[in-house]
Amino acid sequence: MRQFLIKRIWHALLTLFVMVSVMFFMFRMLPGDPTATVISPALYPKAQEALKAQFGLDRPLHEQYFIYLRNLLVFDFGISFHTLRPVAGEIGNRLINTLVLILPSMVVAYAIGAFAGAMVAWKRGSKVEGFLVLLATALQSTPVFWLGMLAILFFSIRLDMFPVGHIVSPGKFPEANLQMYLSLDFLHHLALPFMVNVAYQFCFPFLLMRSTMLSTIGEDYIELARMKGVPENRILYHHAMRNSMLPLATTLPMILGWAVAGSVVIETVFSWPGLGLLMVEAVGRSDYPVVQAAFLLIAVLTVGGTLLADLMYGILDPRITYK
Amino acid sequence: MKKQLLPLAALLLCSTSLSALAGGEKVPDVNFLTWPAAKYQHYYETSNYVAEGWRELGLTVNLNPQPFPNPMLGKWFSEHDFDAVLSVLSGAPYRMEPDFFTNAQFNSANSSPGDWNVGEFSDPEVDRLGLKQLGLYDPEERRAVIYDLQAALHRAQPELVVAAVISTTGINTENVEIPGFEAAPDGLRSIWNLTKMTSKTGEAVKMGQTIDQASFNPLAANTAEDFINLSLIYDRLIELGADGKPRNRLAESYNVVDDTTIDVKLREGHTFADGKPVTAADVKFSYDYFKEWEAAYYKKYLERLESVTILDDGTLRFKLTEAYAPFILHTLGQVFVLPEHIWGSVIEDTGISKPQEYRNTDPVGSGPYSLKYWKEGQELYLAKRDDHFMKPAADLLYVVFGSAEVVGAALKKGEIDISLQPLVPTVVEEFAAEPNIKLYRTNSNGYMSARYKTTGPVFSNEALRQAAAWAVPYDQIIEEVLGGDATRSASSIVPINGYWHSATLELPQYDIEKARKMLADAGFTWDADGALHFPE
Repeated sequence: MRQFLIKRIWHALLTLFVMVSVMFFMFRMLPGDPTATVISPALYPKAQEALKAQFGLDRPLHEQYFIYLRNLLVFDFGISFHTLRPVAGEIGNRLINTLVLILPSMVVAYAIGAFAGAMVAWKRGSKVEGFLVLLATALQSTPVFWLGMLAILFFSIRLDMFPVGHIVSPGKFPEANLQMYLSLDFLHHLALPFMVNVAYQFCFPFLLMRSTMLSTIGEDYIELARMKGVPENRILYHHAMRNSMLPLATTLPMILGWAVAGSVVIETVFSWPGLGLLMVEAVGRSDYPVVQAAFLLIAVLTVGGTLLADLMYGILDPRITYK
Repeated sequence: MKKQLLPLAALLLCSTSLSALAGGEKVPDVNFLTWPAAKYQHYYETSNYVAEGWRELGLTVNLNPQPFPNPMLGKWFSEHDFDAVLSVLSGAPYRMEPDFFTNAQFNSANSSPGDWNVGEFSDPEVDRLGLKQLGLYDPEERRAVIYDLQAALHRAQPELVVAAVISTTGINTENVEIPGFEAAPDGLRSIWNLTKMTSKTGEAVKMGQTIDQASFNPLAANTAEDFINLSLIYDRLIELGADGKPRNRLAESYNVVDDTTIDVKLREGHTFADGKPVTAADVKFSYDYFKEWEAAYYKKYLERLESVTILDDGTLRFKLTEAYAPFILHTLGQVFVLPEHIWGSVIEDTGISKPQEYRNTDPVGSGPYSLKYWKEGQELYLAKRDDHFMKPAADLLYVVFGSAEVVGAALKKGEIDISLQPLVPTVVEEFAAEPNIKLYRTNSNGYMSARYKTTGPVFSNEALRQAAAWAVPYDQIIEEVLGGDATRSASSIVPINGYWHSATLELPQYDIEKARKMLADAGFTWDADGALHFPE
């Protein structure tokens, strides 16, 4: 077990290192002079040189790379080209806003998805099953930005039920404090992006749960339980559903990184000031330090989530042993 | 063997020169650098219409759309890698200074990479007039030379001016009004209009846009949006008027003593937001500080400043190294006055190595507003100062949105009072029908043009540039591509810049016959395929 753990952590770190390196060079291999977007070419030439020196962009690329790696080791993500502030703080502020949107909607989406998936599999062949499978497949293949825009058009503009965007009404909360996150105004703003996100996230657990359930129902122990005269509800909840939860539970941590990355789209549509919107802004202004740190965070979440999923398997499923 | 080939080679040379007699070399293909169609559709389409017109003259035009900002800006400003580029220069108050769109853009001295003469244009007459106007402080005298300069540029055609763009913004009249609105080139964003915005609800005026403030450090800022808010928090000696003329701000008056000496008398009794008085020492400190620390944006405008001295308590003397008429608007009208008691010790106090690194999130200035709070990426609250001489009417709240479309929707729903973002042309008509929305059409002083590389193989020929101006379907571009939201101009100083714009220049029209005749008169010919050949 311990050896396995060490090996897996080592692999995770290696993955992150490769990712960090590829990302570093990828952004700098974009066509043209990579500094041109940071420093306006329309700026006076001498001024351009001064700015390049200020950010260390006048040094050779490999030197910049080693400085970057060395700083990462001590969790120094550099300063934003744009705001001149430490990147860690920039990202931290925005990450909270992303998590208050993503986490609750993930939990709700998984709960609804898992339950609905189990139910339709249990009642195989019902009309509800046909409808839900169609809906889930359609939703999953719908671009989420389009879904979001439709929701704004219908619920915000036509019905005037929700605001068109933002986290609270302008001018109401000068500071992002706990009081703001607990206010009705915040919930009012949260509602629409939350619903859109639930609609989008619900498909995957629903379809996964349904297919796992279908194969579980065919297992011999379900047959045996029936023969023993166990009540149907008990078979459903205790025997079938519990055993079908395994793939779902283990995908949950893996999905987290993916969901945070997916916030890019939903936050842009809803002007939600989270990490996703920050990434869009930062890419637009070639703010490498912020973009790299944001991608790194998503990578850490994904790699860490995968590692967690690996370990969870062992705990949740006693048949699996680590060697 | 070699001997045998010689006569053949001679024959070949002869035949080449013979064909040259018949009509010179074929004009090479035109590399027309332009904007990516997906994101900048109307810019791309404009270049497409221009290219179509040129093709009718027998030119082969290859549109070369490049991602913006990079690498397009690099090819445009640093590498000069084009025969023609669709130049879109946005309007900004400081660009009303007549030097900017004329001499700064076309003086042969400004051709190095990164400078404004991207087409490497060189014309002795333009250089001469350009330098001459720099030395004329008297507006009337200077205007005469600026007129001549526009005429010289009109003759030499270093660029083909397509149109000056109009943008439409809107306000919700239930909540706000702007009494005494001035038609400034930056419209609602002009300081003269911002300070007039009056709230009917008693709350702050809520203004939507898609861009957030980047920095409140006057030395580090370099975007137009940053400068607007900085100019609300910090005062300048001079402020550019909506009409393009200088107005006194922190200066009570200024006096051009001679070509290189300017005296400025300071307004008396004004204070910074923290209650400390604004003194001549603060002004001197600010100019010295911006120059000493080489604030990137200001470098060009402070280059000719030799020294600032305090004559008496309220008067300062600016000594220049050479005559520089734009000094009034470009330097006195842009450098912010900083409180010495804060910036004088900012390096020691915070341990940074340059003032540019200072975040200045709690800026203290003497301007009409002070920053109440800034939630980055979300909102920015500016509280009015009642004791300021510009008399701001209401607090201002900037709200940042993800897209221009959503800003429009928020205006319609009443979530914001003002859209600072130009409304998308397609919704303008819809908004015009709303009873509580008032639209403002703003003539920008920026413009679109096809900029030529005049040292390149195609457009080094002046006659070709002159003819090309008559081969562009201007009215079609304005109607079909720009939705009618544009005006024509024969000069790079467009009509909104009324004082300096020369209205007497002939506007080229879409007239292919005339253009072909101009080419034929200049000795151009066409081959059997209709391709254009240079004169012999």
